[in-house]
Amino acid sequence: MRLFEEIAGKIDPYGDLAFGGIRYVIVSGRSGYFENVKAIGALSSESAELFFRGGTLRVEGEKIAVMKYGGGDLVLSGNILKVEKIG
Amino acid sequence: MKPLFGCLIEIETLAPPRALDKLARAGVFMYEVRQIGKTRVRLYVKSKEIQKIFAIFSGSCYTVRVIRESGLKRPLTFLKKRPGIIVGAALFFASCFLSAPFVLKIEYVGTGSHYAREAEEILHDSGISIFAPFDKERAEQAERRLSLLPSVSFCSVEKSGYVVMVTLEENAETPLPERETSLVSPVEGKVEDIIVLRGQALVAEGDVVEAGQTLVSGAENVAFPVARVELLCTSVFEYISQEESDEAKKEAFAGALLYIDGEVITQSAEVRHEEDKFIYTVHTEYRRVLTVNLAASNG
Repeated sequence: MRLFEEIAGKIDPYGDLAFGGIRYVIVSGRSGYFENVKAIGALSSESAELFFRGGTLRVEGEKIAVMKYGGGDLVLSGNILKVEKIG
Repeated sequence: MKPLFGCLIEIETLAPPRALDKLARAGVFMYEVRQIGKTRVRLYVKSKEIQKIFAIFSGSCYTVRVIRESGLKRPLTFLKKRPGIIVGAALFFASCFLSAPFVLKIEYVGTGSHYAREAEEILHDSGISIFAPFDKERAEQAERRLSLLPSVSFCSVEKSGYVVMVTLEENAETPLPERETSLVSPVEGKVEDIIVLRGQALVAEGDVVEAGQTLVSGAENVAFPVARVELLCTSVFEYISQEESDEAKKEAFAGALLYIDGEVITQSAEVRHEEDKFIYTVHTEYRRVLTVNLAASNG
């Protein structure tokens, strides 16, 4: 996602642009986009556990569903209220 | 967010997220994943990856089922089973494309559309007819010939689809009257004056002529005579009234004038009584001017 490269370039222009850790962006009330997802630990309409190389995220919200998943990219639809790193 | 050519599949397993991970690791993209039960999940995948998915889950504790095709895959499968539709559609479009240059109908519009018969002959001579290919050059040739039709001020030959529209517009002004070849008297009378500029006079001053008699004709080498004749005519008109009065006499004179086309010289009336009616007989003497191929109208 070019957006991440642009943001990373402005924050740390000399940093590692091939960062493979946890990266996500939330569109409040509508969806969330997660990059470098290794696996989905749990999935329900209220929560989801996502495994990354750098840790685990717990996503909580309402009417959560997987819109697209593949190649390490995951798009969740729904009203995402909370994203917490739990591991 | 669904693939253009996709399938809706259902995976039954104790741990649906693991099934999703398995597919993700194999490079299969999943769309609109919906958990419809504790152990069942439905998702859309690209139809070309179905075999790969079945291969991934073969011999395992995952049950995979194809629910239906989605997107454009469904109509595509429908058409594949019915190749005749594709062949028919292809033939239809091919015939439309190949027949586009041909003319299937000719329409004549405009104020000059009454020249349809003449226009049809001109078009045919120019090579434009039903079932013949339309050519711009031939249309321009036909336009040049159509513009020569009498009183046609504008013409166009254009093709719209399979229809050739021939527009003919006539001149809004009154066309010139056709020239006469003789001067015929419409009424009986006595010739008071005759002037012949071209042609041959068949009567002389003082002659009494009848209605329908030719007064002037074309002479040798003169097809269209030019002449003016003054006739002294009389007319008799009867008017019936219920009373004898000046008013009734006036009405009788007025009624007589309706049948006269000329300059009134004298007018007199006699009245007679029959039963309970009064009959006015009006005698009118008037002068009628006749011309042929002059500015004033004939008759």
